[in-house]
Order: sequence, then C-alpha cells, then structure tokens
Amino acid sequence: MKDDLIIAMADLDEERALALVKEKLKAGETAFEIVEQCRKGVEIVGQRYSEGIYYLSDLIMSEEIFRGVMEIVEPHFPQEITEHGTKIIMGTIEGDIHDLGKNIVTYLLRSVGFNVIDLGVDVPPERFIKAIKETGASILGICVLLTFCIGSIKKVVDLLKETGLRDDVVVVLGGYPVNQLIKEYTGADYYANDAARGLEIFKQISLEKDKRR
Amino acid sequence: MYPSKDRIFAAIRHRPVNRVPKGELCIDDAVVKQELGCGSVGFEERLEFVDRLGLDIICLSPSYPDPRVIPEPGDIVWEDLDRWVADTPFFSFAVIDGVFGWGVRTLGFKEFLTLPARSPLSLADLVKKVEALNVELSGRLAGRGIDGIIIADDIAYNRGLLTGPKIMREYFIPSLARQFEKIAGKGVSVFFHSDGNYNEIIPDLIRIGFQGLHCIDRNSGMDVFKLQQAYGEKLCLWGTLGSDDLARAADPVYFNDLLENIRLLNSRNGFILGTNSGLFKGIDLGRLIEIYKSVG
Ligand code: B12
Repeated sequence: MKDDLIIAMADLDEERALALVKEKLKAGETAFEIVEQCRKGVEIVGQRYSEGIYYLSDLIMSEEIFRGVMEIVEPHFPQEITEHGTKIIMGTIEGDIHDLGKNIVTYLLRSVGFNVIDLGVDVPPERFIKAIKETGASILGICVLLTFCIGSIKKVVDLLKETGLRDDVVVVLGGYPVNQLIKEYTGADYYANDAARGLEIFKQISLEKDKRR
Repeated sequence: MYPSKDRIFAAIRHRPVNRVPKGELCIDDAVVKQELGCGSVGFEERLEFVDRLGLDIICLSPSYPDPRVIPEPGDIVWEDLDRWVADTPFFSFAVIDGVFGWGVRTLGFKEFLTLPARSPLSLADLVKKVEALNVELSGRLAGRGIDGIIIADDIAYNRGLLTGPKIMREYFIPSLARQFEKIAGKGVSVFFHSDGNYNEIIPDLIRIGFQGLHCIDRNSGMDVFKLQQAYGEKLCLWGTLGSDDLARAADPVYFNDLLENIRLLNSRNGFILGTNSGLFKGIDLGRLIEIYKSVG
C-alpha cells in the first residue's frame, strides 16, 4: 500500500486527497482500504493538533476533506456496513448550542468506525433517554460549554437511573468546563476536554464492552 | 473625586485609582429584567442596573438589520448612544465586530475557518470589507463622542487560536493594524476582545498599539498575573471573572482569596474588573454583586 493518500490527508491537501481516492477506486482498491488510509492520515492530523503544529481550523479542514472522501466511497461500501460499528448517542445538552467540539468528536469517532447518532444541539434530557431506548445504544456522549447547563446533565443521569438504564449506559462528558468535580456532580462516568482524550475513552469503553460480550 | 470616566481613563493610563474600576462587555436584557423585575428594558432600566452594580463603563453593542449580512454603516444602531454619552458619567465603549465574527455569521464556522485553504481570495475580500466598515463606523462613533472602541473578535478558544499564527499574520493582524491606526487617530481608546487563549498573538496586538484587552479567561490558560507581569505596562487588562469563580465564591475562603487577588491586580494599575462572558441569563448575579460591592 502506498502512503500517498495518508500523506495528502495529513497535509490537508484536499484536491490531491480527493483525486487519489478516485484513482484508487478505479485501480480496484476497496472502500475499506481507502477509508483506512484516510483514517491514518486523520490520526496524523490529530497528532499534529495535539503537538500544537495544527490548529482548530486544520482539524476542521481535515473533517471537511474526510467528508468529501466519504461522499465518494460511500456507494462502494456494502449496504449494512455503515450501520455496523458500536453505537454512540451524542448531543449538546439542553440550553447550549455550542457544537463545534461535538462535531469534531463525532467525526473522529465515525472515522474510526463508530456508529454515532448525533442528536444535535439543545437536546433535552428526555430526548437522550428516548434515543437510548430506541437505538439500544449503550454509550452516551454529552457536550456542554455553558456552565449553567450542567444541571441538565445531572438530570440525564438521574433519568437513566429512574428508567433503570443507568447500569447499561456509559456516560461521557466533554466540553470547555468539564472536570472531575463536574463528573462527580452529574454522576457521569468519564470526561474529556479534548478530542484525542475523548476518542481514547470511547475506544476503551467499546473494547471493554466487547470483552464482556 | 474619581468619577467613573476618570477612573477608566486612569486605568488605561496605568495610574492609581481610588476604587477597583468595573465594567461589563455585554448585559443581556433578561438579566436586567430579572434583577429589576421590570417587563421591558430601555435606557432608564439599563441605567438603574449599571448603577446598582457600580459599573464605570457602559458598553454599547451594535444592532444589525440582519446579522448574517454585512450592513451599510448607516444601518447599524447602538441603542441610546447619544444619551449614554451626553447624560451619564460612564466611560462609553462601542463594540464593533471583527472579521472572524462576520465570517462566522455570514458563512458559518466551517466555511469561514476553511476559507484560507480553499478560497484565499474570498477571505482577502471579506477582510477588506470588514476593515472598510469598521473604519467608517469608528469615524462616526468618534464624531458622536464615544470614549473607546472595542474590536470584538473571537479568534481563539480555550486551547488556543482557532486558526494558526501564520494565517493570522497573513490576513488578520495587518488588517487589525490598519483599523487601529485609523481608529486611534480619531482620539479614542482602542481595546481588543477575544474569548479563549490568544497568548500567542499578544505581542502582535501590543505592537499594533491596542491599549487594552478584554476577557482574560484563566480557564483558557490566560494567566492574568503572568500577563500583568509581562505586559502590565503596555496593556490595560479587563475581565478575568469566570462563572466558576462565581460558583466557588460561595465558599468564604475562596471569596476572600478572590477579593485579595483582585485588589492585588488593581494595586499594580491598568486593571478593570468584569466577567469574561458578560452577563447572560443563568449567571449568578447575586454573587457577582456581592463581589463588586465587597471589593471596593
Ligand atoms: C465559538 C463560541 C461560541 C459560538 C458557538 C458556535 C457553535 N456552533 O458551536 C457562539 C457565538 C454561537 C457562542 C454563543 C454563546 N456563547 Co460561546 N463560545 C465560543 C468559544 C469562543 C469557542 C467554543 C468552541 O467552539 N471551541 C472549539 C471546540 C473544538 O472546543 P470544545 O468545544 O471545548 O471541544 C473540544 C473538547 O472539549 C472536546 N469535546 C467537545 N465536546 C465533547 C463531547 C464529548 C462527549 C467528548 C468526549 C469530548 C468533547 O473535544 C473538542 C475538540 O478538542 C468559547 C470560548 C472558549 N474559551 O472555549 C465561548 C464560550 C463557551 N461561550 C460562552 C458564552 C457565555 C456564550 C453565550 C451565552 C454568549 C452570550 N452572551 O449570548 C452564547 C450561548 C449560546 C448558547 N445558548 O449556547 C462562554 C461560556 C461561559 C461559561 N463557562 O458558561 C465561553 C467560555 C466564552 C467566555 N468568554 O466565557 N459561543
């Protein structure tokens, strides 16, 4: 496997990345192989971001390129595949419309194969519960940037308890104000203030769930 | 002996003041309504509110006919500006938006932030338009007697700049410098506001000549003490109260530490106290007033 596509993704060279994807499809590489190369490129982007070489706009650029790639390769996937990965419900809590961070995390999770159901922003606690019931998802990601919306996250966790779902669902918080104190106050299981750490947590949870199964 | 306006002028000139200067960048109508128990908010209600908090600054934000379209200068309104300037003792700041603000509102976050890579010409065009608008507006505002202008532009978030310093220096910093030159030339004080952590370009902002910075968010890695030590003689620092300060100040020990830190910052001159976020619905106003009253 040549690493030209990995490099184009890592260097955020949109034109070249999209052209390479088309070439590779023509040359007979599978959609999986192509997405895997892109994922490796995205990983490098993530690293460079963590090291302060790349900035938020670069992460967003990589998200955009990845979206373009997915548009090209999606028709080449077997039908059920995109629905396959571990399900995660994701959303920004009620009262809060900040979604830049949530979208990045969602994109990174999708790029490593999770099936993320994004409920959007300003999501009332009841909607989270409804989505969990409907989809059977056992991981819940909640994004919050406004400190005074934290109470609503506690409500989500309380509702999980009331409906008997608490033991089946892992709750991960993310966003500007979250910390150990807020994790404890809301009763959530994990928290992350950056996407890389968030991704690690989700991977770990998913691994453990697989083991238990 | 130090009326509000002089107190802020003194802070900007790094002279001692007899009381901690205070100001809020924005005050939501909902907060005024809740505090005063009034049904609608006009000039009188705002005046009473600002008095009740003991603020020295009135900050006037622009209203646009359509916030998603860059307007003609004549279509922008700063409510009751003439009354605030003529009839009240406060230092008057008018807020004008920067390129990030306009870019995000007119194009959306993603499209704006990917513009340097995808369409540098459109970015250059946007920069030019906003610059022309701001220069024209500041001329008009200065003519109406405003004391200061804040170029408000969220170029950062808690982990750093939204876009790298290279792009900042290619497009945004030169434009800020041109705006500053024309605005300061009208004899008004010029401040810069951004959320988040913009440490990386503070030296650029100083070189441009900005007299003050607003929103020194300690939770975003903007250490107000370090900043004061490094740049205290060149910059007036305004802000630094976060909503977590308000929550934690329920603890008397934290409350007293906070007051002491504020007094220390103030004793070194060139400091204005205020929240980083402005006053929006849900903020613990009672606690904030307590801090404002106690700190003196
Ligand atoms: C951009 C921005 C906005 C934009 C949001 C646009 C959008 N579509 O998201 C706009 C202009 C709309 C906005 C509005 C407001 N904002 Co605002 N905003 C910001 C700003 C500048 C950056 C936030 C951001 O996008 N960061 C970039 C992303 C990538 O970072 P992030 O969200 O932290 O996400 C990362 C991690 O946290 C993590 N992550 C995120 N989500 C999740 C989820 C999970 C599950 C996991 C694991 C990880 C994870 O991964 C991400 C990538 O590393 C911050 C300043 C700051 N210091 O952060 C203020 C800030 C968050 N805003 C603030 C405020 C007060 C407001 C307003 C109330 C302003 C007002 N006066 O009206 C409104 C509220 C609107 C509402 N109801 O939500 C305050 C919040 C204060 C507080 N502690 O409560 C801040 C801190 C600014 C300040 N000066 O104090 N805002």
